[in-house]
Amino acid sequence: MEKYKLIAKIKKGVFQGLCLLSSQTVTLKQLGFPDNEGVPGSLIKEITLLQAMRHANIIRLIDVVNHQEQSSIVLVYESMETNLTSFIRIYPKVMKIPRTIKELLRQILLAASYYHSFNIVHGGIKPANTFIDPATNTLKITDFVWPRTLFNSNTEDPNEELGFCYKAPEILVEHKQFSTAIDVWSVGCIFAEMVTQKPLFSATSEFHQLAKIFSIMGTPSEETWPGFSRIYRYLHIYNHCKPKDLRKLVTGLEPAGIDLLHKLLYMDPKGRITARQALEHVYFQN
Amino acid sequence: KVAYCPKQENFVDIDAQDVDNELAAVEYVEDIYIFHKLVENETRVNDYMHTQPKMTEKKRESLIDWMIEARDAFMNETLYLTINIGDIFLASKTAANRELRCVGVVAMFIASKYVEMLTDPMVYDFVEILNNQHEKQDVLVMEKWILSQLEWSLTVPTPYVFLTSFLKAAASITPLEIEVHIYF
Repeated sequence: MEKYKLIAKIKKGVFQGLCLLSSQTVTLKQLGFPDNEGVPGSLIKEITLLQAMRHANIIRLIDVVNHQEQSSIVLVYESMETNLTSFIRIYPKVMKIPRTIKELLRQILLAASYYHSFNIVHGGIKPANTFIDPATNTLKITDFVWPRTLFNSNTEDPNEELGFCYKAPEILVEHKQFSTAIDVWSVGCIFAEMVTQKPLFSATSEFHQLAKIFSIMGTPSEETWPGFSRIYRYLHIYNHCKPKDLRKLVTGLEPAGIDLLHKLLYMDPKGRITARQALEHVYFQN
Repeated sequence: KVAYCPKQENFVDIDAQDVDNELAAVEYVEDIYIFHKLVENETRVNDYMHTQPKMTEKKRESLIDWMIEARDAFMNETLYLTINIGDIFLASKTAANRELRCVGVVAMFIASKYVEMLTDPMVYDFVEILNNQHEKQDVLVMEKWILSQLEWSLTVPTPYVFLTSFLKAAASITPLEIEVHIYF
């Protein structure tokens, strides 16, 4: 740890720091694990993967340092200040330019398809995890969901934006076999939010999130999502809703964009477009 | 960058038989080997015998033999990775004579965690292999020390990675025969 100097606490276990060798600002995340069996194998595998991943649109893991506590390590990431939530708030006019939206969406999809080619599911793509350098409009994604779910399950910051707004329907019904398609759904939510500057599916709690999605995308039926009633036993308690017209909800988006949005937010994960296919969509052709 | 070699007419695709096997990840098989080939040179261990005062070729050999005997439920891949981890560590840090076995066993502990999928191995099994000459705490401290020396990066292309592919290319032999070749 002597290589780094702590500057400020961002939230529990997360600090802003300075690398004393390169004088680069970094983000430090402390990660604890149960002590009895040493470092969990899953953590060794994950960090090895993170070390191997190099992509212009993914926040890079610079270093892993041993904490003085035996059952704790510190992950050192490159640091960026502005996330998408604050970017939209600070530069609402820039976000109104269709080309900005297109360029940012393309970068999110590039990052997602890179993760997916390693067969990694990010699991928590949301505006707060999406950083933008305002000088160059370079976008970088950070923060896998795993450190939180596996080791620090109770560190969710209550002030942090509500992550469930970006969760795919198949996770909300606790369908166990989720895949890379859940990230594509989150990207779709972010796409709509970049256009309208507010979350598309903004429910008041995780419990109401599914009903909110159904109210806009339509309640799944045997035709739109074969087998859904088997996965989800409580389907009958939801009102039957017809899909709403996304053109009226996401106003100002060109027709090709609306078509892509439909494909990103396809309810049945099996029919959802993949990140790689989305990059080939006509929306990006001009 | 690796030069792309176009597939020739008489090219036999050795992975074609696994197209339907999801676990074999045929779609990415080329990417994976290109990646391994790229990092092979980066992760190659230098000859460290002259910098490691208590180590000789002979001693390294008997240490490896001892490890194979000590742990019978050893997967091949784990064995090769263990040797790589031990070599990379010993090439960068000097260890005292009585620590050498501990390094070997902890390398084995880490490699088992990385390779073997279902459950993590128990630390006590490894303390036992060391005849209780080192305590559990020593093993855990050594584990973190070795991991940090390796910069937590275990994607080393061990000889095993290439061997399986070469054997597959040499003749379409069965997985069991591959196992046999790798051990002897």
